[in-house]
Amino acid sequence: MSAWSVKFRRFWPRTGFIANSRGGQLDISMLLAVVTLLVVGTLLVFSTTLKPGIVAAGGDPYFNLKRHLIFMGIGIGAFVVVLNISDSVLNAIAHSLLLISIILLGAIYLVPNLGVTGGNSTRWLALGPFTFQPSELAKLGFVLYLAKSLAHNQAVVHRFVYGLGPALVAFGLLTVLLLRQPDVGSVMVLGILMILMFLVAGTGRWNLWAILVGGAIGFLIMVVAWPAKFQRVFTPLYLDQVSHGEGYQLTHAITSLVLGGTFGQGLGQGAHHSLGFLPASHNDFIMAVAGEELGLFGVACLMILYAVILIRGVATARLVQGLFAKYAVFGLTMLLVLPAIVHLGVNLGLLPTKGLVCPFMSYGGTAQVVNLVTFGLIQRFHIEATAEDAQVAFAAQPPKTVEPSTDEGGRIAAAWRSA
Amino acid sequence: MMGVREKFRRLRRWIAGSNSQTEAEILHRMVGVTVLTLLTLVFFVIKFGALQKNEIEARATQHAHATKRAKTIVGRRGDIYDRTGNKILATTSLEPAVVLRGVPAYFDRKSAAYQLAVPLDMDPERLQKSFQTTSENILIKERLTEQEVSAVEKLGISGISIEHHYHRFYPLENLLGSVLGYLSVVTSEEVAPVIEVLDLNSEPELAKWIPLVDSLRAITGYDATPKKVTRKYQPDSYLARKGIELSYDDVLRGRSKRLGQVSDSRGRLFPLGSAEDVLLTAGDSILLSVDVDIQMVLDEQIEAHVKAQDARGGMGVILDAKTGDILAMSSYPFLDPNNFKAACGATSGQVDDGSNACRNKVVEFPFEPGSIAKMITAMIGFDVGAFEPGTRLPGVGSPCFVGRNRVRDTHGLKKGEEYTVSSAFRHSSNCAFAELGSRIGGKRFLEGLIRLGVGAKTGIDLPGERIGRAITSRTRMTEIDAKAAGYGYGYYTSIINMALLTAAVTMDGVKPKPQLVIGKRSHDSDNLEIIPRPKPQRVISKRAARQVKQLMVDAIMWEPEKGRAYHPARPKLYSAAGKTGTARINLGGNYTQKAYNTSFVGFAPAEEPEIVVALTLIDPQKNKLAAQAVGPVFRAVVDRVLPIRGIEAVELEEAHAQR
Repeated sequence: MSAWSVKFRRFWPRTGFIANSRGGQLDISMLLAVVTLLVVGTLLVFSTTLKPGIVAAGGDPYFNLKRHLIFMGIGIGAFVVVLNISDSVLNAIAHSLLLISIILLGAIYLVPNLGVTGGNSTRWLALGPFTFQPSELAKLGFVLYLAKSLAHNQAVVHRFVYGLGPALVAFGLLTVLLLRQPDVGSVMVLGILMILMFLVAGTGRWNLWAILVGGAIGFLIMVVAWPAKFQRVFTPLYLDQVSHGEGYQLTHAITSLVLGGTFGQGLGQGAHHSLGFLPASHNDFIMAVAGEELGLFGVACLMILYAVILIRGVATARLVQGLFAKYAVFGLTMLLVLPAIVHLGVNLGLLPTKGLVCPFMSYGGTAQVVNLVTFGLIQRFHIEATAEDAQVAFAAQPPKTVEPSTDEGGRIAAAWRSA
Repeated sequence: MMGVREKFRRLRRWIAGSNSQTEAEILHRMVGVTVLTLLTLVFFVIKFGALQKNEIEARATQHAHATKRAKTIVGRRGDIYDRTGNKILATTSLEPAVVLRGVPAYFDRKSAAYQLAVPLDMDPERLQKSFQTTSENILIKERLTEQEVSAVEKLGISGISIEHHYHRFYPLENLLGSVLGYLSVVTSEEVAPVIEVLDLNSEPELAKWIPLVDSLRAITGYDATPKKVTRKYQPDSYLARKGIELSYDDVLRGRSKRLGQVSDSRGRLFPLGSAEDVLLTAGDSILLSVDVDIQMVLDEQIEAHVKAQDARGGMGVILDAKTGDILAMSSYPFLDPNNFKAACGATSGQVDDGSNACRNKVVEFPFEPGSIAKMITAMIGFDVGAFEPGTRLPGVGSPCFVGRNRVRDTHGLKKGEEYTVSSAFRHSSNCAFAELGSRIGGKRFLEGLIRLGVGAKTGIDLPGERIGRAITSRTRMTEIDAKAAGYGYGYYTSIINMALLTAAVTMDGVKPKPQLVIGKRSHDSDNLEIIPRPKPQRVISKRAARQVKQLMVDAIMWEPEKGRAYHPARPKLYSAAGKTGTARINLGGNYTQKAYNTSFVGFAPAEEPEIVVALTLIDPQKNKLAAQAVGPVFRAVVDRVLPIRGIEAVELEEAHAQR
């Protein structure tokens, strides 16, 4: 625990309500960053729905805000619940979670009247007055599965089939189900995340090249096979020609971002988005709204908050014990930060426009809940890593040298190496 | 000093902590990936800053183009009242209209046109064509019914909205229509932008572009000279077209104000101004000198007699004989300003043969006056002393020659009788008045006509006054011209001018200047501001005026021989004076065969004149003589108007009959 943490320990939230916390602490920096993002996000979501057109038409300008707050409340509840789930339980349910996600993704198409279509995509399951987006759960499930798989196959991680094969198969399965929706954004995030996890795991460079080339070929095949579905991927390249068609959203997102200037037009003062020129401003283009209302300075501050989440996540990964925990914390952190970066890239026209919400800031039911669950899991890992007995063990443990693997994969690897 | 390498090594050791070697390696790679991610983040933020710097102007322009709208708010137009201040001749009501303000981002012109065409009963292709215009405001249809409003609202087409526009309404319909005029929407020509080529040499700042502009023109043929484009009117503006509406447009028109609006992506508009601004821009109201009750009498009589005589048209004007105020002004066929298109749509620009309802014939139909001009000859002659009422005219009789033209009188003298000026006037002898014209002489006759303002514009506050050939353009008048002018040929005048000259007779030689508007009421107060009458001008001596007045009384009030009828123009209830006139119609320089204008100018009562009346029936088919054609109109008008003016009636005809 750092000196800073010790000095301000008395101000930290008590963790007595958390089961088996053993004196562990919440990561206060990450918590503050997330709370700030949630507050700013809520204000921006409110701003996007406070449109003169809605007011003039007699609509409820608070409709989205109310739903956003409801889901945030559910998310916070879920956050508190997952704080009580130890990493060993998580390790045990990682496979099951992915399996459930895959089943739910399949149920969208297989169970009649269950899938809900919106904006040319069938991504949701109907649950009474609410809808549930299984792809968000699938992301969480995939990260935990990836962490478990890599931890299990650490010794053979440089072998394409044995080390990376299971994760690639899971990714392939998810890709098929997600592209069917279609949800290219989620596939993109999961793909990048998987490659980063492989990189962190220390797989060979040829494996990475193989995955990249294979992914590129697969992408080209899909572009040729379904040009209509992938047309928007290339929109940023010829935005001027399609500013009234495919590029309409992006054109106006850039306009919103640019109009904010250095310090923005003020919260609730973003004229361009509030006059309805930016469709899906409350979810896919919330950063454009932030740019218009808070300016370059505001967006930079928000990005600093995501950087804080990333840095604190990696710091937690350093503290936690075991490969699964390290991969899981890193993966979960990237699951929060990566979409934010991609989201900003999309809003700036640097990445293809694919519906991807910004964690903690965008309006979104399932995504908001899953993001808070993800954040809760990271915090649980932090609690366990900072528990008094864990601290003692961590400090007492001498630096280790080579740690031969005892599992089957490790034995095969050792045999292969010695051969 | 610790080297960078040593610092890096320490960092690696700190990262590794007490983790195993594998875990430490994983952590090192995690930190690498984190740094990479953070660098991406920083790159995106820098890129964002660069984007702002490079595109701020272009994007701000794009935003302004998409959202900024301006609507010209024109305040409520002022009302028009009659001289009593109670009877409204023209007013303004708020009516729903369907408009397209700015073309929204996703506006499907064809779909919108076909959807709107059904409930609005319009041609979808014409509608679609109108949507192609680059204009930011398109007025689709006005004065919608409740059903049309609800149908359009139900369609909910982006950009199409219902607005409430001021609509000019004339509650008395065709009463005074030609005097009031009308308003109509600007035409596509009027709304077209005015392109003004800027002179590059005029400004030192612009001069530097001359070589570039010249090069472009030489290489590509494209003229790149900067142009200033201005638009005088908005496409849904209303312009006053005729009558009082046009001549007093500055007073009546509500002050216009550009009201800023913002449009959302669906074309819905949100005003940036307040309602008070709109109220402040209302126009002023005006009062006309016209009395609606008298006007109704005049209209009724002219319409009835035009129909009875099967004439092409008719016109008449009634003045206050003491002040010259215009009490009524009628032009038949009547114009209904509520439906001006029917009258003014196709006939504009054609030669008016008297049947054009769009023209106010009282001021826009100059004609050769014929025998009513004998009043003018007498006025000039008495004024210059060329003759007196009792002056004998020996040897003058019908037929006679004016140049090579053979002239004859309709009412000849008995054998052995000799004309005097007075009897020649009563008998309306052309030969006698040709002689009198000769006695006045060309020079004095021309000077007299100019002094009387014959063949010149009266200066009435109505647009489009026409005078035919201006008398002032003539430098000389020959003896033959003077003879012809003596009985009313060779020059043109309008019926309003003849009425004013008759008023000069009743006003002892002072000719009033006509003015229809006598008062103004500001939009923000009830106080009436009286507009002073223009100063009248003496045109003949008092003595000459009284002599002419007596001639005119004798012409109407003569006692018939036993068993014969009175003059057809002689009122039943009042004494009167006047002069009839039948003149051949000259259209486009040629006299039309057997086509005549039958006119009458007169006043009543004879002793103390109250009203002056001037009337013309154009080409009556039943009776070609003015006394029979238009005389009864005068008679009926006098008998009905003088009671309205509070003049007690005397049963003249019965009294004479008993005697």
